[in-house]
Amino acid sequence: MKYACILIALCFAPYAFAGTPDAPKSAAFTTNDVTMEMIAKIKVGDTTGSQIKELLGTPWRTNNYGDCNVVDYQETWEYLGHDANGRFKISIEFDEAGIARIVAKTPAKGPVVVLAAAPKPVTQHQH
Amino acid sequence: MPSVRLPLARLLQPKILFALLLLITVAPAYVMAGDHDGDRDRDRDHSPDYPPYGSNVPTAHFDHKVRPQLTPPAVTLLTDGTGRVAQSSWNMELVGYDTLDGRSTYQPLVVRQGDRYIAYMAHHAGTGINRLNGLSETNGTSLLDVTDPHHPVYLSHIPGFAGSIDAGGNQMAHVCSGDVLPSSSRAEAARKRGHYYLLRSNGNSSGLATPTETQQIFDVTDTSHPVLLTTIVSLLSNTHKNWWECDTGIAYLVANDPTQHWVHSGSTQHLKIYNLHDPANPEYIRDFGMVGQQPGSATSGACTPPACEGPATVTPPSGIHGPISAGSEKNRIYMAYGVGGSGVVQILDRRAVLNNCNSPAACAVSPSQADMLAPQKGWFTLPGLTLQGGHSSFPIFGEENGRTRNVLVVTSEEGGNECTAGSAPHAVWLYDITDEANPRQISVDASDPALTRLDVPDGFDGTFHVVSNGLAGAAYSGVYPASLTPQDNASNPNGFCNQGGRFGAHAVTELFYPPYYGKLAIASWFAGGVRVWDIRNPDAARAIGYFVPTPNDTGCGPTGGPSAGPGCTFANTGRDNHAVHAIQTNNPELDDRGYIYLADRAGTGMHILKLTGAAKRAVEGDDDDRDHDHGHHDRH
Repeated sequence: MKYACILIALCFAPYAFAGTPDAPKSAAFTTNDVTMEMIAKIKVGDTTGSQIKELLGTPWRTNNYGDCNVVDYQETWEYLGHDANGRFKISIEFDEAGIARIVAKTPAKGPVVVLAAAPKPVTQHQH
Repeated sequence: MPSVRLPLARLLQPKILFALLLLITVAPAYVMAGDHDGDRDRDRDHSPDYPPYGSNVPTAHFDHKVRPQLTPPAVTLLTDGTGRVAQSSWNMELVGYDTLDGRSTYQPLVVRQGDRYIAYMAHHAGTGINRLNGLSETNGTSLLDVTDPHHPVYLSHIPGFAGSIDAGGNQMAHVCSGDVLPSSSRAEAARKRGHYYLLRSNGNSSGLATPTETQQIFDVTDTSHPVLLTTIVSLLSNTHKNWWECDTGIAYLVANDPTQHWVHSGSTQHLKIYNLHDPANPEYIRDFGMVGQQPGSATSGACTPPACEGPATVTPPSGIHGPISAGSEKNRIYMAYGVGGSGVVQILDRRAVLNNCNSPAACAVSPSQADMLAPQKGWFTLPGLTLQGGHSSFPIFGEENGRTRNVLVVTSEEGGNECTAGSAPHAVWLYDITDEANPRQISVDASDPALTRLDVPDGFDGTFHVVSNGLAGAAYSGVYPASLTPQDNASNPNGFCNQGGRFGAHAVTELFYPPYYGKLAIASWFAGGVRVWDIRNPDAARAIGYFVPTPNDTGCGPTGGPSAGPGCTFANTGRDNHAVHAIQTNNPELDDRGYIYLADRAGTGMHILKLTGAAKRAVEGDDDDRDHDHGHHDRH
């Protein structure tokens, strides 16, 4: 019996490294449509990311262009919705403090439209 | 005649069964190791033998022929009256496309993996829906089968950090075959045989007190089910553009461990060098960077050679953006520092970097000034000094009229949106580095703001809208004026500066693909797409092709993949709070079939291109004396 145990252990040894502490994680996602009434509750310059999550749920997609320095900050969240013209996207850009700064809508066809915007900080890191 | 059959019951005895199974499972590995004894086995592996896969650097054949300077045709504009650029191309053609599930992407890498071509698309921080499982995953690395470049097949996504997205991103990928990596024993060779390994940066610049960035190795032999093999090094504060020599295993990791007290300006990172011949068991070699970055160096004030790289830049010297090693045969490493400002490029003796620590324990992590200077063969700053940075430095070893002639392609990185007032148009330069101690810029264009022929005007009419920065000599540069902004001012000209996002140089292709080597320079230009120059006569480079994708050309499906509706390009915001969709072509790269792959920072996806027209003829050497392409324009 002990030989069988050794054999089984040998066979599975190569897979032992598969479970590691920093193995990446995933989260379930449901594509809940947002409505313009919900979007209107976002106050640029005031509403935080966590408040937006409470209001709209997990973003459909997020982005942060910063690749060289944390101050090169440009975090954007996107949500999906539907109206009479089809599916649209809502983009919410944050400032470095995590406050919504710009809310914009991209219709199924045509250019993006800014719905609300707070002033951009005067200084911006460039590199 | 007696029977020779063994009784079945005897065969099933545990000891004999164990011995038989052991023979079946273990012996073949040693047999396959054969007598290579750790040497690479290219008979089994189909990857190229030029860097970074091997050390067989092609020889470029430069000439001095006078060829006509071509005028790039103006881009096509969308017909909706917005002044937005539609898909436009010149001597390049779109072959294939994938949305990459709308993930922001930094770098494409396409690897010949057995009989297939696998694209490793390295993502910026963010989240998106994995079309294969419907889950929201933090951006990591997307794997696609691009064997048929017309129809890429999405294979898997390796998620990145699960934490905040500003700590995330896996921007850089390198892949080596276990059959090419050297081995120190038959057992190691047998264990790696037939396997492929992905080296990737994990996280980028979290800015956390206890940093979370790491460098990782995945076993990607099964491209649909990659497996984390090991974390090479953790608790890093920064990562970025790594390089991995597959035929030696030497990896140059861009990183910083704040507990080691190296000093840098700008991007706080230098090299941590490892031998990853056995990816499961990384072997640390040393840290390295620009003299003046080692622990104990000055952190402010004037600094002149040899203590720092030069009086014209900054103290401490700018952090490295990425190295390119020409491999063991050429024995050189090219180091670009500064990203988008205070740029310096350094040429190093590779063997000296790897072997010159006389007392390794101290030298490896805390070298002396002499230790830092010993491998240095040359260095230079860029035109405009503080206004341009070192993002990429790609060497071209060649000859002209039978005499050695070596050239370096250098790019800066545009870091600001929409041609920020006071910033220089970030560009690409060629340097003659035949005399390494005295590099000199070639293909100079005195009328260009960055003094180079490898530049792209911001105006659709082919002109720059810049003013002088008021300085002379090496510090001179053209800069964008305040009058060019705000962008919504109707008096401003319509051009690349009001497309949104960044417009300017970023990265050059880094594979030593022989048919293009020494003939073309291919660089990404953010809102300007990808740009191609004919450099066969390196003293007179000329524009010969471009491709600018259009934003949102393919709908971005709610559960990943393409579908009808709004496209994948992220809304990008200009200084006047006008939201726009801007193409942000981030990095270009080749495969060994000559296809050109583009990654888009704004989430537009992956574009696969091929050369056509004069650019194709330049590669084939079939254009001299009959090239009359003064600008041809394709509309798609």
